[in-house]
Parts: sequence; C-alpha cells; structure tokens
Amino acid sequence: MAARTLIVDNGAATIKFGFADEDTPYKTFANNITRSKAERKTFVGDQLETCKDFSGLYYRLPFEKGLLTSWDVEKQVWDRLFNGKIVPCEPSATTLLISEPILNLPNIATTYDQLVFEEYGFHSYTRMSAPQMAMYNEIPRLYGQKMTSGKKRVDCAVIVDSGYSFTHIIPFWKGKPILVGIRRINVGGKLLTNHLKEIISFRYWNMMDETYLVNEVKEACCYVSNKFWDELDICKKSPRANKILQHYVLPDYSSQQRGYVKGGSKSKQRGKKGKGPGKMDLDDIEAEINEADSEDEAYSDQGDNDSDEDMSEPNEDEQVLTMNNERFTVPEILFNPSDIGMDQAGIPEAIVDAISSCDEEIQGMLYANVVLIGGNARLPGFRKRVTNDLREIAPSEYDVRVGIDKDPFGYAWKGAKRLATMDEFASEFKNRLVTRAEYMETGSALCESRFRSAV
Amino acid sequence: MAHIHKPFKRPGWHASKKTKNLKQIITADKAKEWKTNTPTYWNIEALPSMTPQKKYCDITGLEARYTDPKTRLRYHSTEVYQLIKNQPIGVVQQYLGLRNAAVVLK
Repeated sequence: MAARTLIVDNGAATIKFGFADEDTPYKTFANNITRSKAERKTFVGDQLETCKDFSGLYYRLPFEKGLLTSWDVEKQVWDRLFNGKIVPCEPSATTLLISEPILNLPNIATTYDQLVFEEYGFHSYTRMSAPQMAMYNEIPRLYGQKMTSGKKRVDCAVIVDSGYSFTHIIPFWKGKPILVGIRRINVGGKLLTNHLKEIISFRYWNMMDETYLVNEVKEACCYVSNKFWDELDICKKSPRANKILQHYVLPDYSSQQRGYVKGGSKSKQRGKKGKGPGKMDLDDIEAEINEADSEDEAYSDQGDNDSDEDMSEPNEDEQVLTMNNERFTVPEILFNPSDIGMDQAGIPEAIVDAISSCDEEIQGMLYANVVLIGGNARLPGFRKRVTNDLREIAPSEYDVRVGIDKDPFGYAWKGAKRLATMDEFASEFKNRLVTRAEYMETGSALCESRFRSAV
Repeated sequence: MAHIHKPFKRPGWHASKKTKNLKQIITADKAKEWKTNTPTYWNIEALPSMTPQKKYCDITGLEARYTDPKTRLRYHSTEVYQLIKNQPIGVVQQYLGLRNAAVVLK
C-alpha cells in the first residue's frame, strides 16, 4: 500500500500523533482552544506556546464527559493539526488510525466517519479505543520478560486507562475487550486539577480561574502516597520536620514565566526550561517513575527540601504556594472517590470487580497482566500503590503483577505504531481499514461493522 | 480561522447538518431499546465502594477525629474548632461542598 499511515491518539486533553513509518517518537498537541484574558487572543492547540500570560485562561474543550461532542472545536483543532505545517500530510494518500472513547455512541461514531472522509477526505481509516491500541505492545516487557516466540501479543491483560476525563478498566481476551468486564470510574485528571484548584482556593490563594497554573502545580507536586495515614501525620509537624511540605513559587508572568518548586533542584530545572505546554520531557518522567519506584517514599523524590535555602524567609518579590497534604490527598481520589462524596469504588477495587465478572478460567491470567496507561499513571508511586492495594484484596491464589511503561502517556500510540508497521499485524490491520471509496458506496454502517468485527 | 488556506480540505464540502450536543445525544441514545445487560457507555460505571469513607478535617485536610454536630463540619483538633465556631453559614456550606456534602435547597 502506498498510503502512509498517520496515527492519532485523540486524547481529551492531548493529541498524540505521528507517522507510523517514521522513527521519531510521537508528538503532542493540546486538544483545546484557549482564550487569554490578558492578551485578548485565542489560541488553537499548540498556539498556546506563543502565549506569555497564562493567567485567567479560558478553555474550550472538544470532549465532554469523555465523549467527543463539540465538533466545531475539534474541527478547528484538527484543521490546524492537519494543515501541512504540523503534520505534512496529503489526506487523499494517507491512512488514518485514530482513537475513540471505549463503547463510543453510534451517533458520535458516525460523525467521526463523516469528518474523516467527507471533510478531510482521507484515503482510508480505522478507529479503535486507546486501550485497544495499547494491547498491541509487548506487554511482557513491562514485567521484565520476553514475548513468547511465535506469538503476536499476549492473550489477555487488563488495561487501566486513567486519562483526562475518566478512568477506564478494560479486560482483554485474545485481543478483544471483554464487554461485561469494562468498568469506569468517574475520576480523571480534569477532576483532580479542579479539586486541587478548589482546595488551594479555600486554604491559600484564590486560584479558581487559574486552571492552567493549577495543572502545572499538580504535575510538579502531586504524587500517590503508599502510607497514607503515616504521611498525613507528617503533615502536622512543624515545617522543618515536615518533609512533605513544598513551596511552589508562582509565576508573575513578567520576569518569571513558569512556576517551580523551591529547593528541589530537578523540579527547578524543569520549571525554568520553559517547555511548551502539553510538551513533556520523556527523560524527566522516566527518571521520576524509576525514582519513585525504587525509593520507599514517593514524596522524597524532590530531593532534600529541608535545606536551609528552602526554609529561608520568602523572597519579597515572589508569591509562594504552600503544598502540604494536598500533594497526596488529591491523587488519593483515584483510589477512594468517596473522599469527595462520590459513590464509586477506587481503582484497585474496580479492577477486582472487573476481573471477577470475567470467566473464572482466565481470572488468574488477568490478575498477572495489569497494565497502567494514561496521563495519571505518570504520578510518582502510582504503580506501587495499585500493586499493594490489589494484592491486599485480590484472591490469594492468584499472582498479581502490575506493569507500567516508562511513558504510560504514549503507550497507546506506541501500540498503534506496532499494529501499523509490524508484518505480523499486517493482515489484521488491513482487515480493519475502510477506504474512502467503500465509505462512499456503503456509508457508516460498513465502518461500524468492520471496526467492531475485525478485532 | 476561516480565511486561512486549507489545501487538505475539499472546498465544496460543507457540513450537512449541525452536530447534536451531549444532552441530545444522551437522550436519543437512552431512548433506544437496549437488551438488558448489554454494556453501553452509560452502565459501565464502577460499583459503590465497599470500604468506609475516610474522614478528613474540612479545614486542614488532616485526619478528622471529631464532627461538629451543629454544622456537620469535620475537624482535626480544638484549634480548628475555634476557627469553625464563628464561621457564617454560607462559608460552612462551601466547605461542605468541597466533599459534596453541602445541603442544596431547590
């Protein structure tokens, strides 16, 4: 096939995209339109990088409750994405592999087809959910093992996709999702950011309008606690003895464009590097995950922050945000949604519930192949916490293995790339595709049946 | 955006109809007759948790040992209680709202 394959993981917050035949890793693109009050300008997707003042940013998101509903926003973002400068593509000679929410509604699915074929005129396309994409990865590698030779992929795994809107738990069997085992927890990165925003506004500064900034704070400071009550006790101590306490220096958008954590050398660098929004440094995250896993307490990953410099009197010019127990009580919502009055089980409990609704014969294999993906999986200590909690409540006869990639954020994209490039998957990939000519002949019904059956 | 040249788009094409908003989609989707036990986007929510709710101090976020019977605020220590004793009712409700426990009058 002469057509090049473009892989787009259309996440609710960030689009991960790249051509399958290129060796470069994926690129990211903010999936939203923002408006800056201070600059009186509208930014589509990556244009936000040119923004100088992130205060009072107003967001327009294409996704609502995990579903793509605001197509006018999405169209503007895609127009910019596909316009040749960012993705040098000729849609009529391009195969598109795009992600969609799991159990997408038929109405929305049809709109995908319409837009891809009628508006953009792609040569052929297929869509699948992000966890499905992740299934094409070499999952045994996450547990330090090699793929059994002669096998294309693992028979079964549970993918826990903790994204921006929701957290989904999806067991797979022979590459197909087990529908009765799918569970959703209505907690995602968006809810965490909003909750942190509210808490900060109650306790310290009013930041109700500063979504962008609070998200930066969350990414810099938050972690998943493995000894929750012990660490809560530490938070009561005086600042000198409290190792959890962090001081986040807020940017003033004149001399300082980005905030940073005081005292933590690594984080300081990260703040000053001035990366564009939505762009992430893979090395940083990798280091963070390794560090968090190797060390006993995830909170100490910012280095010694009870140094003298840290505790010195705050500089007159800088505004400091104190992050104490908020650092781990906010991500804790993923594990106990009841903390904020939600009547739902947390991730470990929901995994057990999902697995126990599957066939008993494969339950053992599912427990041994839990994979964490999505943006929230980047929180330090996440894997360890899921492992520990799951071990406590899973039946004792089963082994529990929880795997996480160095870059859980792009794991789905990488899986999709394997699907599109590897020879073993060639026929499977081909069976999934619908070409534009076929669509024009038969319409959306063909897409629906082919994307669902060819799994 | 309109004036930017878009070589990748077919110039003659226009969206035929407006896309529905979330509310319309949900109503239309729920009106359909699904077989019972078919997993759909709406019935895959995780079950309620079996573990008891943890109790935190509404003001400081620390472990809450006490509940103020008058306002239903949870608090950590007597010092915190001194603070919440004199809070006006609106503020108390906002604090409760943080954990979805506020009384909403309709």
